[in-house]
Amino acid sequence: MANETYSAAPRPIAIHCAGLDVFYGQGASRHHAVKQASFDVFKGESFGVVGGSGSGKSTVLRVLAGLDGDWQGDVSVLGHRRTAARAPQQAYRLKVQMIFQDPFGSLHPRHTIDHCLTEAMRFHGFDRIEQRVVSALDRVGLGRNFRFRFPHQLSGGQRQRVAIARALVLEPEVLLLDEPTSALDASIQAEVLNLLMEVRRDLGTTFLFVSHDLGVIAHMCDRVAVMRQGVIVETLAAAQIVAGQVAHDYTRELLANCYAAQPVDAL
Amino acid sequence: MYWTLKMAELLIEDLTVTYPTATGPVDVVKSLSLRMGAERIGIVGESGSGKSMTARAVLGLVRAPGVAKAGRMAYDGVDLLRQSPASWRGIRGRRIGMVLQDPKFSLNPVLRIGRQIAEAGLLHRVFTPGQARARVMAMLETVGVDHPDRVFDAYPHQLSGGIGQRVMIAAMMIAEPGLLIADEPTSALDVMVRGQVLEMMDREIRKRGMGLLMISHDLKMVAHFCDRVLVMYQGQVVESCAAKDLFHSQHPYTRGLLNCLPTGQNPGQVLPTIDRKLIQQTVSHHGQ
Repeated sequence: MANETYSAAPRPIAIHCAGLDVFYGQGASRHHAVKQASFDVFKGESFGVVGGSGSGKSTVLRVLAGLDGDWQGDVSVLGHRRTAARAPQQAYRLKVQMIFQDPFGSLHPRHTIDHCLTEAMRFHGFDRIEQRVVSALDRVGLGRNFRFRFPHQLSGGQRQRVAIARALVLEPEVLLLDEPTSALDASIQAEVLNLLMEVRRDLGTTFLFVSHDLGVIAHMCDRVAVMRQGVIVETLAAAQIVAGQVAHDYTRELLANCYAAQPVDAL
Repeated sequence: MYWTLKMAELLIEDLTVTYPTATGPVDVVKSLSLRMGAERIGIVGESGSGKSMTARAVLGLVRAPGVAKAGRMAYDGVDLLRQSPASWRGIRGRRIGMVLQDPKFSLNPVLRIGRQIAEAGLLHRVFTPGQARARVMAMLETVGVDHPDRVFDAYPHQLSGGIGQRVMIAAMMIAEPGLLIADEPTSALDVMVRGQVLEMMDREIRKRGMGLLMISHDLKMVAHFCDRVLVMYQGQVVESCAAKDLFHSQHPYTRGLLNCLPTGQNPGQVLPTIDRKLIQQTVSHHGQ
């Protein structure tokens, strides 16, 4: 990969992914969704994956979260090696949490926010559950009044805050973020992105951030992998995207098509 | 005879759309006025700002229990407030076309594409059944479909989102309306396809001298493709300006919408958010 010079001193690696192949379907219609994807994410780093629809960017996240089974390759997160077709270990499921795109589909409609936040904590045998719920709700800016509400009583931005709180109560070391703000209005997106940056600053969480929006990626990430049709075409520092120092034509095209990411005077 | 040369004009005066709620009637669009000829106008705002409802009201598509009222609403001299269900059929599609967000939900899944595109043209007698195939093929080529013959005989599920939206635009343009209302025409599309579809749409609108009313949440996109922009907040137009002046806007809401977009210019720094209390004050002050 180009631009590996960006990493100066050897840093501990949080996510190691080498030669990852992911498939969907069977037989003749078996689709090769991700082809030989390789990247490393350092501890505490925010690593972005950007690309168009069907580029395989979310599929990579799903493999890391243990949601997809049909894959090959060398994948380890925080020293835990993942085995295809086997559910991840409990410690892994605790340390790696995911935030999904659609805040309407990712919360159980008939569970209160309290239920949603405490379910996984009970499973993992946490103590001081009530205290943790309240402090997580405070951290995401909802406050304890929201504890016994239902998802349909919340706006999209508030639901996404609940999804973030649900991940944070487990004190994860790695957060997998799948387009966490693309279903939100621009002003709400800014609020949620600010919250995520605050979390990373305070807790030192490692981010793997998937988005189609180069502006969001450039703002939130240190390094970025650009994916196209299942292949990582280049990995570069976010600052290089802003400066327009991109090597691959596809990245350039992506930048040209992303009006939101362009500075005002370029329009 | 001069009036035949005059460009068709859409005139909206004091449009209000009201929905009853448990806590009393709510105006989702509040006394909106607009006058446009063959120009490109963008309406931007966040969810619930009333931008889509404005578009629906123009075509008489506000569903009960919603009520649309206006002082005047006319297109090319035709009064849009006094139309029967039958007479609307001569306006929708023929005079004013509409393209919605997602082609998946707008196309009939069990009819072939060619037939769906031809439908409006045949209905409005723009061409005869004998000419239909040639007209549809030509239109598919115009909207940038690479293999018109294959798409002509395809069903909607066999098309990608980008081709689907090109088909929608072809189906809308075949009856040669004078005004196009595009409600978030590209927000369901892949980023890479978005720009191509918008550029095609823009080219065809200019070529045909049509008017465009584009509804979107994306300020920068609208500024790129429109001449004039209306910014809506909670049913009210809070700002109306030339697209090129949008980025110099002093209105706190417009500024807020522009500033909160991450660009990577200040990576990792706190993004400015919108101070809704301040805007509420400005808006209610403005409204009185």
